[in-house]
Amino acid sequence: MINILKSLNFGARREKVIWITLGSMLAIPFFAMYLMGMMNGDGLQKMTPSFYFASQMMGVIFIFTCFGIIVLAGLLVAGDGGDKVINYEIMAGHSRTKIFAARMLAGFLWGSVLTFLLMILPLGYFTLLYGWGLETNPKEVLLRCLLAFFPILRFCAFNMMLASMMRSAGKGIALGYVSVMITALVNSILEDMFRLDLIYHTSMTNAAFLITSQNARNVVMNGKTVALYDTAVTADMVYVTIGVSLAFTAAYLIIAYVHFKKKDRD
Amino acid sequence: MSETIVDVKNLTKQYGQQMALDGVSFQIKKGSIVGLIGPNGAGKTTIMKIMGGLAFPTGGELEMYGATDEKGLNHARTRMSFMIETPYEKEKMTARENLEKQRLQKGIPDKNRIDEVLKIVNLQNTGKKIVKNFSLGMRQRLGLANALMGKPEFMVLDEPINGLDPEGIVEIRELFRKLNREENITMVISSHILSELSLLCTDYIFINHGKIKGVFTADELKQACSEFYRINTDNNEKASAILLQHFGIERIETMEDGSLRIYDGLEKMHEISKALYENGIIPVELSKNEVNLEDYYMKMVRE
Repeated sequence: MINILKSLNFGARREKVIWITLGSMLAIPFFAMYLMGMMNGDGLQKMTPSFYFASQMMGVIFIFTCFGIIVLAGLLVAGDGGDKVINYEIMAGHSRTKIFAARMLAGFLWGSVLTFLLMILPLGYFTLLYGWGLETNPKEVLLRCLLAFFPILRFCAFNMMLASMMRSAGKGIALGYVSVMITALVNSILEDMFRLDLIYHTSMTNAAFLITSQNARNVVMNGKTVALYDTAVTADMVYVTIGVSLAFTAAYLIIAYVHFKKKDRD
Repeated sequence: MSETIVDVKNLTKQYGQQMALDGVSFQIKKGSIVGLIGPNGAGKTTIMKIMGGLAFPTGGELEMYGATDEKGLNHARTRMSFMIETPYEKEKMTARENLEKQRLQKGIPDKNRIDEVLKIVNLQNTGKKIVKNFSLGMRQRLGLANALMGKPEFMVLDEPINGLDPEGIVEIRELFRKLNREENITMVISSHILSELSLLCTDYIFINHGKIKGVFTADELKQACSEFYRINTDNNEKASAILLQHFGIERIETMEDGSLRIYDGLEKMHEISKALYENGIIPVELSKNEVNLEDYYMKMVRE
């Protein structure tokens, strides 16, 4: 399995699309700051991490992170499917279980861990530049971000399942994008028409709930009016987020594994 | 006696209603070069895919290096290499990068092996050219290079000389002979270029419509591709009856143009032509010929 991982990493490092995706994910927060500054007429917006979180900017950028996860998951899991290179891993004598495990691990490492780090990286460099800020509690925000890793894992697993079953990175990515759109549309309809409060039903709503702020109240601090946001994390949030995310992740992996293990390869 | 490294017993593969393989049985001995011959859709690639683990048989048994279970077959495959349908290639990588990826995947510690196999297949000067810009022949060579990376004991090659120019075909043929002779590598090769197979193979398996039509050694095939007499008369039907009744010749084949081929009694041609004449049959043509591999193949696949 380690050999397959090495081979996958070797290929991933030479895949231009992966570097473009990662570069985009790094650049988007700065681009967002610039746009915000342009809209406010202040030039480049000086964004503390607290404001970054409180202004929903992190939540907005998370959408782009999801697109990045779709691309990375698709390429790592099924990038070798279109050109049949994955067939040669089977013919080399590796068990299908090991091939599957290696690809899923590579997909998780690049698609979940790396994108998660890129998602929270702005918090780090904004803190270095401007300090934390006033609007939110840093420990609570960090805990929410860490919890958000689990729905990201679930989202990554879903897209890896799609790519694996489609046997093509392109098809998996396309289907991933379509599923995001449909999920967003259905959620919007359910929330608007039936006043349903969807949090844990999908990975995106779960992550969005965690990394967006709720319940702001205005207080006066040092002669200035500051909006303070409620970022408290309850025990329920922790247990349900982790439990539901891991359960769905396991389900997606099992479905993908059974399909990979039992089906003939073209 | 050579060790049997592959033993296929009554292998079947069904796709929906279609029987891609129907009770196929054969053995492959160590050190042989086996030509797998059949038209498109005969089942050649299906057999190779099952051997490679890409497809699962519907019935029957596959034994390789004494193993029949999944774990054992996977272990057997570590001693083998395959080139089935598309060769191993990442189009956006160079030849060297492709081989490096393969080297990592197979856990081959020696980096110099890449230079060795590139030299063997004559791709050592491709430099930074990516595979997308390779000719078909170059891609085939890269596929062979990948197949040679792990120093396999047994190679399964699906049309390995496809796309090669005549010079390349000769080079690859000599390479296969050398690998077989010097390193005792066993090979199964499918090809439509029957003349090339006849220069290379020690054994032949004919397959059509998912069934084995014949299994021959090179010597047996040489005998089967034997001499015959072509007879054309003004009444071939009557001539055929006379040959059977008077001379006991049973191996008579009626060709599409109505002429007869006889494979037995070749030493009695003088008596035969006399008997035909005495029975009022005028021989228009009486010539000695030889069946080549292509003729034999056409005969086999028509059956």
